[in-house]
Amino acid sequence: MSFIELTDVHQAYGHKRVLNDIDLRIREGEFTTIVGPTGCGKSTMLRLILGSEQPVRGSVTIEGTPVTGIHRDRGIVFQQYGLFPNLTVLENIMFGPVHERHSFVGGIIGRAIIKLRRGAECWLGKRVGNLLPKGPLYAIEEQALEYLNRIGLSEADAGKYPFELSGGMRQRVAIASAAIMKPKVFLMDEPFGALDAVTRQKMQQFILELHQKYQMTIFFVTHELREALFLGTRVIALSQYYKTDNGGEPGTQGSKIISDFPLQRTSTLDEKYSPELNAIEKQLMEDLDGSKKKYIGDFHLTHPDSFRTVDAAEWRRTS
Amino acid sequence: MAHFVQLLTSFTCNVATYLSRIFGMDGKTTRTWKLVLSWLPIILLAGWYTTTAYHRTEENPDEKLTPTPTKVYEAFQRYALEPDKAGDYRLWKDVRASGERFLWALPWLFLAALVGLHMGLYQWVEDLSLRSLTVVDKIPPILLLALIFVVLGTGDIAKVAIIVITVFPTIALDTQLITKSFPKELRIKAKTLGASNAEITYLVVFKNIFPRVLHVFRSSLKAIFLALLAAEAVVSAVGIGYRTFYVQRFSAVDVILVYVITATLALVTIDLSIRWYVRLRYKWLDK
Ligand SMILES: Nc1ncnc2c1ncn2[C@@H]1O[C@H](COP(=O)(O)OP(=O)(O)O)[C@@H](O)[C@H]1O
Ligand SMILES: [Mg+2]
Repeated sequence: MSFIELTDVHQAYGHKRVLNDIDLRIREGEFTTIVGPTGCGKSTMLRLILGSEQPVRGSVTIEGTPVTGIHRDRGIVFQQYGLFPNLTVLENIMFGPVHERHSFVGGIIGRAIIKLRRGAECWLGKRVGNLLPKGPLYAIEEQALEYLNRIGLSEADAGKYPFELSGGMRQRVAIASAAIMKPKVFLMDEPFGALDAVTRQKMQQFILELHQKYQMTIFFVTHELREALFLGTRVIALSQYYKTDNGGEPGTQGSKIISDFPLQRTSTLDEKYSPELNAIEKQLMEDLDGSKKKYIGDFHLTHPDSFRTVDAAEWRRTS
Repeated sequence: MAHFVQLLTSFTCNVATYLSRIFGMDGKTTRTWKLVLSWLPIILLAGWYTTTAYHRTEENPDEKLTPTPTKVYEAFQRYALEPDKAGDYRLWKDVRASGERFLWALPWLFLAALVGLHMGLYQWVEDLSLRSLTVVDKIPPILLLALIFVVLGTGDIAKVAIIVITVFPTIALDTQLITKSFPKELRIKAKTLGASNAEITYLVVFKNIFPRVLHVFRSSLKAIFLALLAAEAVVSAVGIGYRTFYVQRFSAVDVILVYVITATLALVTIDLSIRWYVRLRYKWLDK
């Protein structure tokens, strides 16, 4: 049995159909990148896996259990709004463990103690700080500092607020604050979309290291094909531009998975431009070209785990 | 001669460029200009008033409608620095009475913010209160005054009630809008990180919107004092509104001006304090 299964998933908002009959099986540890035109439902698909909304038809299961709501085992990083603006970097990273392990009041008191101690350290020196009580959140604080180091920030950054960080640092902290929960499934919705090319490349390497270390199952939405190919172990393309036998129109028919390729994991930047990846990129470009709509029978679903059930009305021809 | 004309033209040109850089559209004023321009209306007004007042007083020493600054200061002395027959310093007694009523209203206005918070996050609270609040928000508070005095008597409770009824709906509705504009992504993120509904409501959303709520409160200050002073003017034995309307019967403009200035300064102080507090305490706001 697969780790994550989407079966006959349909999603619609009012009369607007967004996802049309999505079938997907994902193995544990897979790094799935999702590409597709704007508005094709990539974020919607992530929300369904996250559990923040439910499909109108079909089912989403993880390890055989239906997804009915948000769960601490599934973490998410958005392109924007990744951090709580009123909390410092350290508090942002600590947020998850504190709220999971401590009560409402316990969390407030623990945070206040840390704030007091760190304030004293800042103004009066480390020795005075050491005299103050560690508080109930000390273990979490240590753990958060470890993550802070791992994402390449120093302890001096711990007390900064998100607005004082660069875009890349902010996304690092957002990733750390989700990663500290050690989620089984890690969802990322265009996390590097707002970053410049160089920062973006660094973040890509960072996320690869993270995946190699923890082997979590990752879904990564991006509109950069290169990024999708470089990061993923599997790439899927969603699109509303395809042809079926019941003559649905794009925009009313909802998106399907039109391509599904396995990817060789590339770990060095040179392999980012390997001939295999170039070939897949060319194919994806063609598949995603909205002016050359693919017939439902001609989708490129070459990944060994790929499967689908088709609607008889949509695919009558058998060739 | 030609040389002189050339000099004059170039001078005019330079002045024109300079002026357009400041007074043209999207122009930037310098520090000095800022200072001059911002004080100009105040100084003009004060100057115009003072000269008129002295002129009129010269013609008629019993002139009451335009007291000179000296007369206003004398009124201030009588009301603030000397006790009356009962031994009270009237100005401070009035400020204190109005201030206390204002303070009593604050917890209720905090409650209004909480109601707005829940309206923004919980559909059922919105269903329960949106319609009623929108209607109550439109009641002219002055008309309610009569009703409240009948129902709650004419004491301090009625005056606090009139403040609360006037601005409770505004604050609640504005807070609801602010709450709704708080990014849903952050609420979702908090939930994936194991935060409970209560923690998300009070520790994530409320803490983030609170400085904005303070700004809403700041902009309702005028409505709050309008309601309070009107209520005091109608029935009261003490308070800024009461005294101002009481001395109005004797056309004591000097005393009225003392109270107008005092009340204005009080409001400016409250307003600025909140602004400074927000700027210092919430440096992450709007970044
Ligand atoms: N809550 C919603 N209500 C109505 N329409 C929505 C909602 N969420 C998404 N949509 C619509 O669904 C489509 C897919 O959205 P989305 O998943 O965000 O696309 P993508 O992330 O691929 O750009 C869009 O056309 C969007 O307008
Ligand atoms: Mg999206």
